[in-house]
Amino acid sequence: MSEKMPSSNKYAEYADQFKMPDELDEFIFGSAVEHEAEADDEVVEYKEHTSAVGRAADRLADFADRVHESRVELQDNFAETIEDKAERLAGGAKQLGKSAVSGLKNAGLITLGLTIIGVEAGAKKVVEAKDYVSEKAGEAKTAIGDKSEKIADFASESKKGVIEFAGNKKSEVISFFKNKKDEAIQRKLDRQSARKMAQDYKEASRINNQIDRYAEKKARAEEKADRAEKRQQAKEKLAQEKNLANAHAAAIRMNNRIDRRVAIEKMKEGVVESINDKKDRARNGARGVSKSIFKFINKAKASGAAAYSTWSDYDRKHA
Amino acid sequence: MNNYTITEATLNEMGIILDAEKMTSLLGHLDDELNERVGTALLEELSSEQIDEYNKLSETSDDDQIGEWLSLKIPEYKQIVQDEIDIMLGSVAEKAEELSKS
Repeated sequence: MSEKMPSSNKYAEYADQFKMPDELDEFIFGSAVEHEAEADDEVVEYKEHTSAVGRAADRLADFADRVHESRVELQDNFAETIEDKAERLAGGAKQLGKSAVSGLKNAGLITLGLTIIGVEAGAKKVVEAKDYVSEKAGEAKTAIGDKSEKIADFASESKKGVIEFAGNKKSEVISFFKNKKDEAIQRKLDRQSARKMAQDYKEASRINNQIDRYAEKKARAEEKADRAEKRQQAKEKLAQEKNLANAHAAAIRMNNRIDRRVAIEKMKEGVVESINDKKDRARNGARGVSKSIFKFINKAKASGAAAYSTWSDYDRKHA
Repeated sequence: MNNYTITEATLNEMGIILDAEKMTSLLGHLDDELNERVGTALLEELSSEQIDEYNKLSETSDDDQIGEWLSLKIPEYKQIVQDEIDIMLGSVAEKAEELSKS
């Protein structure tokens, strides 16, 4: 085996590369998968989703490149891998071939071409040869009865004819084998072509399936990002509405407060006015009372004076 | 008595007439080459798992049993072997003149 041939482990390496889809879930869509684990109704940051989709698309492109490169490498090493397989084969390819040929030989299923010639062409030649010999034998009998020199001529001609016949047969046999070889090579090429087409188709189907699978995942990630965006928009709208409602309520409350303040101010003013009125009234009242008191006092004074005068008069009278 | 696949009679039909020693040597060489070609051609049809299966089978089975197993695993088994034989015989036929002179 050639030294440059890959070891049988090379198959495992190729297999690992093409088995990647399982691990690739996390490799390509790690972020998206993590997001999938989250509850749908959980609000996820839109930007995070968008970047996850972008990263997934990049990784998908990287993966497609790697698959292509691996495939090219695998095709390049196709001839080598056959030899690699032969190394693993007990007894090598020769032993397998020996068993295969022996199995068919023992079953009488191998044709060496001559058998076919014997059936198809050889039989015809045998008949021709028999006719030829028989004809010459008849001529010989006649010749023997004639002249001895004719016997020598006949022998010479017969020998020449047999050699000619053998030569023709030999070239026909060689031509037959060459034709059989060409037919066999064509069948072998057809088989190789069919095998390669089948491998290509299988490989293309596998890659297409992977791409479809990842495209579906990408679409799901985009859909999820879209949903997250809508949720975010709804959340923002809700927040705006709430803010507006709050602002409206605040405005109402503020107006109410202003109204109340105005009312209070009015009330205050009313109270102040009332107090002032009372004060005024009180003031006026006091003034009246003072006057009354003064009046009273004066009156009392007058009364007192009168009384005093009276009393004095009494005293004086009764002194 | 040897049991070569390609026989002396076949070579004689092509006009290849050799002394016994040379003929035995040629037949042995052709047999080795044919087995190698047939084995390689069949190997291309076997999967990695089937190679493992063959390795186990070859430890306990004779050529006839292996032949039966091959016919089950490779639908064109007989045709593949026959084609390799025909290719080999054709190649020999193309060199019949040279071989006759050796």
